[in-house]
Amino acid sequence: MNRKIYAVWAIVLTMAAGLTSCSDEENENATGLSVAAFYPTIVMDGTEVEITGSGLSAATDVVFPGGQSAKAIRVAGDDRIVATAPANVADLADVLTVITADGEVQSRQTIRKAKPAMRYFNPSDQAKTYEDLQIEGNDFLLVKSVEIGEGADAVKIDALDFKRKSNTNITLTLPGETPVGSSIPVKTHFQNGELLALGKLDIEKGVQPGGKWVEQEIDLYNGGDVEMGGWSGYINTIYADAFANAQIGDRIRVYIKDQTEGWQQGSFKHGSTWAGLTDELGVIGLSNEDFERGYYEMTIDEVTLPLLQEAGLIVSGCNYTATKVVLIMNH
Amino acid sequence: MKLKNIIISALAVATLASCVDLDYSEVTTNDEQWVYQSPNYGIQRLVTSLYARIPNGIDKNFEGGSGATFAAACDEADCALSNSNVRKFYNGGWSPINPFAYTWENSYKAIAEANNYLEKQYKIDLSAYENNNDYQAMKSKFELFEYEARFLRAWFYFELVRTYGDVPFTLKSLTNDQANSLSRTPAVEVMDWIVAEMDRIAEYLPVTYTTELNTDIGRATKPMCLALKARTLLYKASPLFNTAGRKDWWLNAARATHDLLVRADGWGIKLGKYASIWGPDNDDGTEVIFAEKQGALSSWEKYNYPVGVENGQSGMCPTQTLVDAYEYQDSRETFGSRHAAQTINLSTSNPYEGLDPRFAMTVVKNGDLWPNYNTSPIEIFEGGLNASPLTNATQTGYYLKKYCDPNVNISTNNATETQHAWVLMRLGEFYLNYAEAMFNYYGDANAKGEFTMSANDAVNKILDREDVQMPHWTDNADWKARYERERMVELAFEDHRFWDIRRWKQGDSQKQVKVVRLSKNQNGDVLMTRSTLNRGWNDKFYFFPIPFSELNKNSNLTQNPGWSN
Repeated sequence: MNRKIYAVWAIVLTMAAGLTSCSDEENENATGLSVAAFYPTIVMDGTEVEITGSGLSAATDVVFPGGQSAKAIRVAGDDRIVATAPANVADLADVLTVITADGEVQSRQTIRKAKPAMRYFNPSDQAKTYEDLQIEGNDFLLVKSVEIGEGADAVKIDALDFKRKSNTNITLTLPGETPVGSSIPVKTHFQNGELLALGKLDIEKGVQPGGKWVEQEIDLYNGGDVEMGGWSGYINTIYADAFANAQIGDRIRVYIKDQTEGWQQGSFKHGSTWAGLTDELGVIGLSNEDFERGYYEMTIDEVTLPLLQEAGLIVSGCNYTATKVVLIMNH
Repeated sequence: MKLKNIIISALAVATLASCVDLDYSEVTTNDEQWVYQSPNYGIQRLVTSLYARIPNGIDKNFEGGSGATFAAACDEADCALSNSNVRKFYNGGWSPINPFAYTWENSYKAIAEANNYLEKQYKIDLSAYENNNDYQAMKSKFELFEYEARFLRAWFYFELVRTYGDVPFTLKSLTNDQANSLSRTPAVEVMDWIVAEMDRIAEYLPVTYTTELNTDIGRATKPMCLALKARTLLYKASPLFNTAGRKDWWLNAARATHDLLVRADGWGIKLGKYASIWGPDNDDGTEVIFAEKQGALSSWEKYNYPVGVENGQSGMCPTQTLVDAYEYQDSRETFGSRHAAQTINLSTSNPYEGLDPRFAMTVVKNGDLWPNYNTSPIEIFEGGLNASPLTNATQTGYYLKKYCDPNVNISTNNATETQHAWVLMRLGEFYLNYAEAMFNYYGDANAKGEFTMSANDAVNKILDREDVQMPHWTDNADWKARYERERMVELAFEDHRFWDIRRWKQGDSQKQVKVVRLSKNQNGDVLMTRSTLNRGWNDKFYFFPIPFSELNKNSNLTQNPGWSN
């Protein structure tokens, strides 16, 4: 890790003990009304602008560039108000004007309408899940979230979970559940609810940091121990819908214990016909190693996937106890 | 901001008699325009000045100096130096005339500097540097300064409300007259502002600066914002501030803390070894959220190494109250409950065996080889090499190990120094904060409610450290008292206990501090005998007194309850 360590000289800003600092009297009118600062300096319809100054509790209006009055003013104190920006604030930066019954004062800073615009994605051709995506553009300060994809598959990343956000750049790490494919739409949501379509991006599956696909175990059966006995016991409550999102390469694991005397055999059967999903899967010899490890399993392939999705699964066998059955997905 | 070789201008400057522009002590010919057009020597210094004001236990303690910390002002420690000002916290020497005003003065100076920077930042003009090779890096850094200044301003307001309760509150630069007419804003309102401000700025700060164009460390980050928000809400929910007993405030604290905890791992913030919390590289530790790096020094070791070690001053000595809080690895029994007997023969039994490993990392006991270069075992029994009647010998029976680097040699002829950093926020604190908030809201340490972990789950994360490995908590039995002991153990000497006692309104617990005296009997056996130190406590101590000098200037300021002028 490269670190830049720099020696700095600290300035002691001279202040008397307490809050005395520097109040800019140039911006204060005869009635004691002044605007010291405000944030943010770009606004959209509905953006709340916090204004600090003096005499602000008497404010009757806050006028934005273009002559537009604030939609609402909330007084937080004589030195602080929050003005809600209206629609149609001018594009060109200009001062903010605070008006009271006794006068008005203009800010020294300028404010303008935000004009969010997208310039490019980086990478521009193929993004990957678990890797960074940079969005370069303008006026991104008021972005609240980025949405990738559409409908139920879309993922939304809140600004708090961006890696970085500035006025010209958003950097985020594409989550593992980001939809993959070509021309995936990307849009931003702003604090006021507005949307901006940024374009489309090709996204492919990346590798989770650590070099492994993420594996998640999903319970297919977890309802207590089942003694298989001599092919008398079975688990027949794993239905087809449990495999709706399964893919080739996923695994079905049966957790086992209590290796009893005689042959120990496991079995994966068709959910309605009771036939083995395949000849090999219908009767599986279990070894001492399987019991030491605590499970036996099968890998879903192009033959067994449609059978599982059609009728579900029955687990049976002899001379062992099944404690749990899980689906292990690596996507 | 990582500050190396910070040199504070030695030139004293005249106090402001009226509103003036920034008055620089070093180069009087540079005006405000120069400052805001000068990236490194003007603008950057305005922000680094703020970082330089952050209090820490090494060289900006309760009175702005080095030596004893808040640990010795509560039941964690006794300061062996009889003339230490820390004793004033409980010996009657604390008053509005002797108010420990550092927090008030330093915080308001910082807030004034932050307000001033935020009001003047529109003047920043870097156009002269557009053709510089590092222009983009400069621009990128300066874009963040606004949010760093806002974070630091909120940090200092937290310091103020924690210390004084209701405080004057402003986000604007003021003249003398304006400042001296402010009244006190309720603490809860200031806390609400801190929380809202963290919500506003967090998304604009980076998770880490290692991926920025400027790979500085120690600057304000997104995790720091979430952490300050969470800590503020915990304090707000605590009895000292939550006078109406609002249960939902605990839920708010749990939510904010959970927001940090669920993100921490993805942000690279993880629990590591307990022993890694301090040491030469602790500021780079995976658990650290915010640390103040001090550079190479040996002042902490000089102050806290035992007397009898050449140049050792004994400093802050852990109490038996702290030692009694450690649990044993084989049960949930504490040292205090297992060894409640008045006298223990340390030569025939080892009551410390099997104790929580954090004890040995925090406390030096009789017989320890400490520090690494000391070849004589520590002798704390009366007449021993490191004991009474030597001046400044411990009165508690123990010496401090935590935060000391045992490789630092403080002897005159072989002196060495190492890097030190004071940890201001770390992940472990927030697992504990979460557990506290959850238990106070749900009343059941195993309840997860709307979250991903229960109070016990959070505590167990701490106990699962590689070098701790204490048994998991599984039930609610005596949970609150157990949690308070665990918090005292885990956060010992990190300047939390002093504030925890106050926000829990447990001041009476400070009237007596348990200690032990070690002596040898006629057989040469070392006997450990329990004793107590009596300390003064008055409920007015929950908040500091407003300095008399401030009340004198501002008739709108009212004193905290119980403190008369």
